Amino acid sequence: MYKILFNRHIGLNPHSLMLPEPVQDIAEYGAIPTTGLTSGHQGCAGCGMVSGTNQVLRALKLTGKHVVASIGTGCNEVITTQNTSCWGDASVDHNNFPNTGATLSGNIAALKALEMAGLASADAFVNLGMAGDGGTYDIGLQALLAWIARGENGLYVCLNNQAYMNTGVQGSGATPFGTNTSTTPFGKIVHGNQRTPQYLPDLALAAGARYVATACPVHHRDLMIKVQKAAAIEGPCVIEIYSVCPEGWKSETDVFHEITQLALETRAWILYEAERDHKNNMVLFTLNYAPKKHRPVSEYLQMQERFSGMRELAEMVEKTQEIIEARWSFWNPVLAANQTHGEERVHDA
Amino acid sequence: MMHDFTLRVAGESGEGVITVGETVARIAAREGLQLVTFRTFPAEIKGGACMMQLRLSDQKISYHGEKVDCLVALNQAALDENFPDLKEQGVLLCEAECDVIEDGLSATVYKVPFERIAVREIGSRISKNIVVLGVLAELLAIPKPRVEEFLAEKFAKKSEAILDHNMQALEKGICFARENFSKREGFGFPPGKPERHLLMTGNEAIALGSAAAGVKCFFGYPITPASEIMEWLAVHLPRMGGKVLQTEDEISAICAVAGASWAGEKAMTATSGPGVSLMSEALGLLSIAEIPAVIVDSQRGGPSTGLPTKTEQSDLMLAIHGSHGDAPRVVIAPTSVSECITMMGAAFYFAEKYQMPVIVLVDQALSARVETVKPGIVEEIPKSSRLRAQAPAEGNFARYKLANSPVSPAAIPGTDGCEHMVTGMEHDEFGNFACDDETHTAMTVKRFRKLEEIEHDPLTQNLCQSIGEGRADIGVVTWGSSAGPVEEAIAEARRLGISVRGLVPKILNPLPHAQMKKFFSEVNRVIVPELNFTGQLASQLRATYRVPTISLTKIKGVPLEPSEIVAKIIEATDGLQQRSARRYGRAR
Repeated sequence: MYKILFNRHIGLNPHSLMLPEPVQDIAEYGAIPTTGLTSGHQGCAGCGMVSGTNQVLRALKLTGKHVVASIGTGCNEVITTQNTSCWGDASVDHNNFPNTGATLSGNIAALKALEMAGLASADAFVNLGMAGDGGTYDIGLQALLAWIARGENGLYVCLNNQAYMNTGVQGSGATPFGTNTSTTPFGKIVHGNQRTPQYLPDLALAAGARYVATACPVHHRDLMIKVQKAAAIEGPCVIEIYSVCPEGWKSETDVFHEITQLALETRAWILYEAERDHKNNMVLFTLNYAPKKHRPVSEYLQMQERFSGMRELAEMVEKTQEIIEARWSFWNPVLAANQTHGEERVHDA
Repeated sequence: MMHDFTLRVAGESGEGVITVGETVARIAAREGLQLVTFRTFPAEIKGGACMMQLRLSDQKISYHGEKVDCLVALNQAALDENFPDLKEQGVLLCEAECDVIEDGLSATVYKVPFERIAVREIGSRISKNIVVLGVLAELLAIPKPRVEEFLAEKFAKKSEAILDHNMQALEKGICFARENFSKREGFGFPPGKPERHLLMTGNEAIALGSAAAGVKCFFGYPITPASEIMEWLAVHLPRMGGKVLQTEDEISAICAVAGASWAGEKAMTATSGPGVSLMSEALGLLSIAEIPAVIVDSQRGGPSTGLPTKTEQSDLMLAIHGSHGDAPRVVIAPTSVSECITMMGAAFYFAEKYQMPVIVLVDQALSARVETVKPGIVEEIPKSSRLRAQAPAEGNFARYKLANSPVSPAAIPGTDGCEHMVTGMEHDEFGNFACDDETHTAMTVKRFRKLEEIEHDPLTQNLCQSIGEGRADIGVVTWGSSAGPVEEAIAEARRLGISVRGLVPKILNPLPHAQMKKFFSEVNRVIVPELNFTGQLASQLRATYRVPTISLTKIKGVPLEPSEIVAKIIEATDGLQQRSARRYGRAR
């Protein structure tokens, strides 16, 4: 267990308890030299993952360190490994489906050994792991949690498109309630996915992660701040990126921004981060985006045909709204504080 | 009238290539024709080259055809890639903008502005495939009402405007062909009231066969090319009183199968090679704990992630030997879509009767292949049941009783008087952990004796197909989906006057020894064609029967072609002739 503290400040947060200086806030991410995923990838039109990975690589460029990436099997692996230029100057290891976390440990062990032999400095590298939601919530969970529990340095990025997309849209542990996938079909007896998804930041914090965050490529300043922080903070850090998938969500390819914005305004996706202070056994939570007006989740369900069955059933829409409200209620203290104390920060690093 | 016709449609994934192929396939099946298809998948999620090939015949066929009578190429890349497979007198239909060198070409070439017709005359690029369908309908003399009837059903749930669009596109395609083509393929549909066939993929057949065999619990994890089995069952099994659960990985899937099966229900999983690798430890558990289980492995190119969307037969050794220790299991391999149905029955029959894991080996080509299946085939599925225990009159229930039969009566957990423990540790008759040499030997012998009994089971006798009879110079042994091309190759080699016959064991562990030995005693040379690098069946045959084999292996991600096998047969025959010539020379 740990004490929960809230940052009163809502919004972009380049500060960290663990870092002496704030990280850079880049208004135009295009200003950073290209590091990959600009062309030659096999991503579908409107894929959020390509944009997300591109921003991760650009943000890591700001650290000046060499990126050693371990990527698990999944969409991102399929679309970026047919052309080595996709990864720019990063070194990439595509491992198996279940073991992205384990590979991160292997990399760290090797870097430490090289350092002891005087052949390399572990500080010169960013140990980056990347996997999809299937490779994170399902088959890769054991390796991920074990890696976090070992307390090793690294940044694990989960590109969450909420199902197994490259094998034909099968449900995963991150699939939202009521979604129609090929293994959770919407039928007369069973109405789509009956499970509510787990939450990666919760799992990672429980396992002992030093820093966890959610992000989305539409809010690139926020995403790139978080990546820089995760790369700089000592210990295991986890970032989960909301990845729009027109193919699996059965949405139009040109509504990337609209869907993301609706996700944020209906609070189906919450942008936040949490930093762990081990000495004081506390975790500081920061809400990075609070919509002025809470739009009903039914609006979010409209743009995606994966919800076409469940959105017609009032009780399923209601339950989805309940799930959202329950999760959002976690932020009540900071929301209440903001009503009375404006933009002042509860906790100052 | 031509009654054996091969058509290939090639283009980019997402262009409607598969829709065209499937429509022709479904209409042909309704008209009582037999058909076998083959399709490729790009590794990309969207885009990338893909093709679908259909062979239609009024006779039984077992292979999708080598050279094609008609090639439809929707772009230049598809044309360049597929043109070498067009027969000399074949017909090429290609997008008008494609470059074709027509000098010295004996094939008929028709350039059709598919895209322009769709965009300019229909106003919708996605109607292009229906224009293609119209052109094909005219070329192949498929009666227009039959295509219209099919489209009406296909678009029944869509708006009338969409159906109207498609009908217009069909008409435009037909008109274009009528006005511009001089040649007709003349592939007529047989007259009269045809016997309709069912049309399904190998994966659908596996799912249907499992349901018909009485599976009640399916546990799985998504993996290409096996996912459709779980997807089909997710839709249909709940209505049959069954349960489908997607687990977090393959280890959980097979362990859930172990749990459900121990609890008394027929349970299975379906995966591909990487999944079986993860399941290997549990295969040993199922073996030592004597729990019935069915595992479908739809093989793909390996190792590791390998070639996820391409076919290969490289998991045979893994299926027979995968897992540590001496862990017997049954391995069977259907050769056609129809057999995917009946042999799922065989899988449950062996699993339940002999209380052990059964692996069903298919491959990507068979999983994705669409084939005609005769209605009522589920009636041929063998019935299966587990030997049930009675509570003992006195003393404890011996779950692993050492008796004449290696199969001990099993009890559902919770049966009064039959309380017991199953375990992955070596155990005595009652399930108590025992690691003394006598128990380990007796129990290992018990488990392996099941394979001996299976070898003599009446069902096993039907799981070996002989192609031809009696003595022959050349014998061809193959397995799984390679049986189709082998059958065609043998027919062709015989036409060339070569003495050749074939054998296709459909049970690979234990092998049907009596039939195998008889075959080897009747042929002079043995060729073993299979889709892997090391010749896995060939080495199994050498180890088991000490018979010299000539391996024909291929790892190009596509099925064997009959011509490759014929060439190997001729090569082997030449060797024989030279040898006999030398002998003859010495004798003189």
